[in-house]
Amino acid sequence: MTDAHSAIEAVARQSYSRLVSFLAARFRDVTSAEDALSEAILAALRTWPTQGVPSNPQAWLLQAAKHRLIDRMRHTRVRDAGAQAMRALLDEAEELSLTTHFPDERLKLLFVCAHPAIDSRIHTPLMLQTVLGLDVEAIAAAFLVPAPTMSQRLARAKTKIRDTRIAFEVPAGKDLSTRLSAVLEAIYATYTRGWDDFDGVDNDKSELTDEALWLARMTVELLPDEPEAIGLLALLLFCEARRDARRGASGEYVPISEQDVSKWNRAQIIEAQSLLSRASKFDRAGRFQLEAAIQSAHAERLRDNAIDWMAIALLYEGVVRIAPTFGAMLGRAAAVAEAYGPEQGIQLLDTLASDDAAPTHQSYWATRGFLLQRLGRTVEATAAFQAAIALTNDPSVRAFLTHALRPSE
Amino acid sequence: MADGVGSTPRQVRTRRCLAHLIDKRAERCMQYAMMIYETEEGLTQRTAPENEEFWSPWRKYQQSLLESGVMVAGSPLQPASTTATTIRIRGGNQHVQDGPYADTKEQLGGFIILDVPSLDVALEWAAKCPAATYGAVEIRPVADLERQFGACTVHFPARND
Repeated sequence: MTDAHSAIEAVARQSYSRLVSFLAARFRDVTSAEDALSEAILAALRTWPTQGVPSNPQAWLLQAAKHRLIDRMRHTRVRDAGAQAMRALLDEAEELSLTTHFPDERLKLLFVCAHPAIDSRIHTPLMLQTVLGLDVEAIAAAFLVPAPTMSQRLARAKTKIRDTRIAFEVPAGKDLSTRLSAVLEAIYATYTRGWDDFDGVDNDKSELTDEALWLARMTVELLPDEPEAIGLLALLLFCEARRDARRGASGEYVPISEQDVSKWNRAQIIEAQSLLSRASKFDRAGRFQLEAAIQSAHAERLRDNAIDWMAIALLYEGVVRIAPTFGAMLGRAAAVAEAYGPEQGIQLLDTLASDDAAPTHQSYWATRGFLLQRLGRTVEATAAFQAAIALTNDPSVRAFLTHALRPSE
Repeated sequence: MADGVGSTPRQVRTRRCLAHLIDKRAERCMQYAMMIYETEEGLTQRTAPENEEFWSPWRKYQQSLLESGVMVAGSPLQPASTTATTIRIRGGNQHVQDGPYADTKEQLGGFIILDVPSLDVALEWAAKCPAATYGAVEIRPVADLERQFGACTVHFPARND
């Protein structure tokens, strides 16, 4: 690879999101911004190897993409006098702004991607494509959707952003917290998507977890006074710190309470702890801070090897009150069982039995199996474990559950 | 983009001009149709002028629409079940139907055309609409065919033209 090629790759990787965000915010059109930037990158691939790498590659790409956008505007809106005047002025300004000091509009783009007028199921894919520049094939694979379908959904969302003129702005006041939670949800979904891949056989896609961490860091950097954003970053770091401990020597699944703490990444845990305490100073608790606090309680094992299940049960109670998802209620039941006995845990699980998610939720059946086993209700426990085994594709989880089913073997 | 050191006066002027133009462009307004869907029961509330609980929020809403100057046009509609007539021409034959084009639980009860800078602002107005609490409010951008295709298409004059 030539110097020019590696320069292009480096600037594209480092600046893609900033360039797309800036262009999209300026022209209120994500698709055109993306197209113009890819054309600019192609132009760079053509000219840099022969004419040399410009002194400011980022500004070069921005300038090239901007001209493509303006050309397109001129062609599609021939009779728009305003656009023509603007083009003339931009032409004149061409010589000027070879500068890196263009505003960072990435946060605005994040808010547009997770806008309430956009179908919430497409929030995460849209972020992956526009902010991270992931290709449609990779996104489609992560979401288990055929690529043409994903491509259509993304195109539809971007057309809606352009045609309805969704504002590229960071919401203020009360709107900020509601809108921000959609942004954080989408980042969290990116992470769990990567985590799920890790559960599966295919490990290649777990790079999504890195992308999610990057987005979470960026959000904290751009919104340093939002405790939930800080809480999400802390949560992701806690999870990330345990990555290597999730599998035993022969690849078997290891539940969190039995993980070998020496395999935990201490640096990440320390960073997560300090983020969590920074978030708590704002005195505005939220779902992600509470979930991070639960992880933090587990991480206490690094110090004295004891898990404070009562504290965890209490934290889950808080999560359930804010966000009563099936997963949170399941976590509460498991924590209550550890803190106050399996009988109490089973009572909580029974209240979940009629939930739509229950029949196909692997962890629900596995938790049920363990609690019933401890209560000596062997026949029911066996049925629950069998249901859980039927619901997992992961051989290591299946082996773990099969072992639980016949502990003597 | 600050006016940097070392720029010529012309460059500085151009840059200011450019910034101004881009701001203007961002401010440029767009029209949105706010369509208010109500149930038959919701519509009958309108027939009681003394129903203060119903009318008071509507009066306040209308007042703020007028004061802000965002409203281009708008009107409530009479109930679809009793007043709608639908016409279709198929194969040169005119079919007139007594009733709305589709029988639905909620019907178009009125509309307001807004002139605002973004969907977000339109949605703010929709959220303040009293009907959002008992019916549903749909926001659709008005298709600006003239801008899209040039001046060759049909021109729908606005009320003030």
